[in-house]
Amino acid sequence: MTTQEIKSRYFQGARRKETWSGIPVKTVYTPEDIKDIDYARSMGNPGEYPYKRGIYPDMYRGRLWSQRQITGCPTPKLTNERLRYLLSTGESAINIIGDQPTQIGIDSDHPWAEGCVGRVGVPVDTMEDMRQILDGIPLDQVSTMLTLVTPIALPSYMLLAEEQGIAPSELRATSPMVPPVLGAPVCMYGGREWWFDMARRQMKEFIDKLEYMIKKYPKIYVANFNAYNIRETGVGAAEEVAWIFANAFEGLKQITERGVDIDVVAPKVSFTFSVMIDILEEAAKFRAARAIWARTLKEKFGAKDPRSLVLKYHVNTAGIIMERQQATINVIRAAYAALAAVLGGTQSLQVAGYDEPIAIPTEEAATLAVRTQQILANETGVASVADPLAGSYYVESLTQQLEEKMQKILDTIEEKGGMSAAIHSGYIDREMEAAWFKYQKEVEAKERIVVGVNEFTIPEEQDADVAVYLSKVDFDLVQRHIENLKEFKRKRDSAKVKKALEALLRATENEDTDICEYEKECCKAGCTTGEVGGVKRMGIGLPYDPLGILEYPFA
Amino acid sequence: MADSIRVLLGKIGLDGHDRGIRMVAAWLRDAGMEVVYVGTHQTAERLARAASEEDADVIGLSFQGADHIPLCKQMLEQMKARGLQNRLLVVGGNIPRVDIPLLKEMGVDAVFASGTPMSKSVTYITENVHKKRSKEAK
Repeated sequence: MTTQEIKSRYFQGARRKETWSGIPVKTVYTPEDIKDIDYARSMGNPGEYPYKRGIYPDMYRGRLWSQRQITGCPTPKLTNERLRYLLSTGESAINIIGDQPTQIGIDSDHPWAEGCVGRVGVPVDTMEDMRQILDGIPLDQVSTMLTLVTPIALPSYMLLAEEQGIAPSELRATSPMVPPVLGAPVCMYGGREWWFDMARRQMKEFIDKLEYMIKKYPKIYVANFNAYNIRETGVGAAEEVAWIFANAFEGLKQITERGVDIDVVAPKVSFTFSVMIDILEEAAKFRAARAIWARTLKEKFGAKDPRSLVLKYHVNTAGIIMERQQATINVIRAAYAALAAVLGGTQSLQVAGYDEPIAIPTEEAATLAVRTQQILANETGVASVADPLAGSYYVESLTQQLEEKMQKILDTIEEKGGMSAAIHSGYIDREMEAAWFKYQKEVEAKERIVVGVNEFTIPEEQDADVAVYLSKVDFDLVQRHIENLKEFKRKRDSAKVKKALEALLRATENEDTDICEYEKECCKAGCTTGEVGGVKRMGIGLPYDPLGILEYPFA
Repeated sequence: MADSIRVLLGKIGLDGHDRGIRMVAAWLRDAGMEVVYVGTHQTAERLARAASEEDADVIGLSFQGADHIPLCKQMLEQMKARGLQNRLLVVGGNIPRVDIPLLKEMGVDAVFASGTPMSKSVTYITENVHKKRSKEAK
């Protein structure tokens, strides 16, 4: 290092003159920048329409955000140990994620599952797996996010709660329906046409399920829209919100056109957002999003119930801000992102482990993530005041700019005929590809500095190795899980299994209103993820196996 | 030089995370290579067949599902079965550093774990592709 380099560093100013998403930023903001904002009309106090400042009058003084880490280890037992450990560290809610076979709806013994079981989440083949995952966890004390996707997750969860003597009205969970009927496949092009197809075919089932939940399980949310995946493609803050809202509005339109009251469905809708590292832009994003949601629901959908107008969401700190170079410094990135989510007024938060770009987190990484949330909640002071950024010339100006940008994108999509049409036309893909290409160009040209990646780097051989959780797992345990499943299938009462599956098949074909009850019966009889999903596909005229290899075993 | 290089990209297995590989496809095209991206949910067998039919110089796989070792094994077997050992096999994605020597020992030519500058991948392919094809063809 030369003295010249040190000196130039000493005089170096902030280089970036725009937000993460590319909104130009001035050196200073003054009252001039917010003179057009009318407090009563466009902001209101926290807990008041249009909820820009938060959905509760007392925000975190009343109740802190839910602190839930996404958890899915290679076997149900390892997952249970991790969940219990996280609860013992003070985590206040849980979030369980399935492995790839579970998410796609096939069993661990499916030929395509080879090598994929338990790698990025927990395998859930039967209700017994769910029992093991939740063993010793009092289900009336926790709120659970079932990011498992398998159709047996929610009915098994309900049955296990029944066994624990918990009243259905007290059971708290968020479980996106399979496939997320209302969530058009904005990213992950692979199964997109299949997804549209499923969404069309399952709309009635979705509405029935929604009505069933409202009547019997009022605290279970089955409509969760995932904006996190959109943001992970590298698009900006306004696109993240506008695209998922366009998606949600299209779904809500279809539902209300079938005669369902907006104030019945809207209170059950929730979102999962991402939060990036540009702290003030992200906080502004959430403030803008709440106002757009409230205004659209009121003015376009005619919603009257305040529960329809408040935007409820969970936030994951972004995966794409985490880097593999000098990976331990990701702890800091995740903490800043978490701060942004809290300043933005989230109801629920997951902080990514610092080893996110490498594998699923070690216990140490997961612990640091929980502690990050606890420091934020208890030491930093940001939880003591509702919407502490309000009135900042910059933040208010940015909130307004983002709101306008989001509304403009929503209008563009509406002109194209809605989100599905916008996807089909190629508009979304083009925007997405342009965004990620631009981002990468900026990084490689050092127009955008990423610490440890294109500046402040160290030679690769000096970069400390990060412990890899999966390298320490005994994968014989996974093999045993697969063998146990095969044995379970051999030993179960196959007449009972067949009867339950056929009842579900008929119910699906006849568009019966009580699909949930049939699914529960299947879980009780020992039917598997692949079987329940397969029969439901057959019921709507699709092949049993999503990968087109296996035949229905009880024909 | 890059404009004579034919690259086949795809994802084998169940993982659907395709942002990385689509970005690589755009980047290699931008560098002048001829790129065929066959999408997600492919099998090693299908990919090897496509590589043979397209006369690809390079096969590129991307992983985010921690299933790179068993799936790369399958890919290498399929390449061998079709006599494609003189093609470059390059792999990218969320791959722990400890697994990189293992993949190379198995026969993967290069591993571009997430965070690798795109320009590095372009340089590597340009410098190595013809060498490998002419060397092993003899």
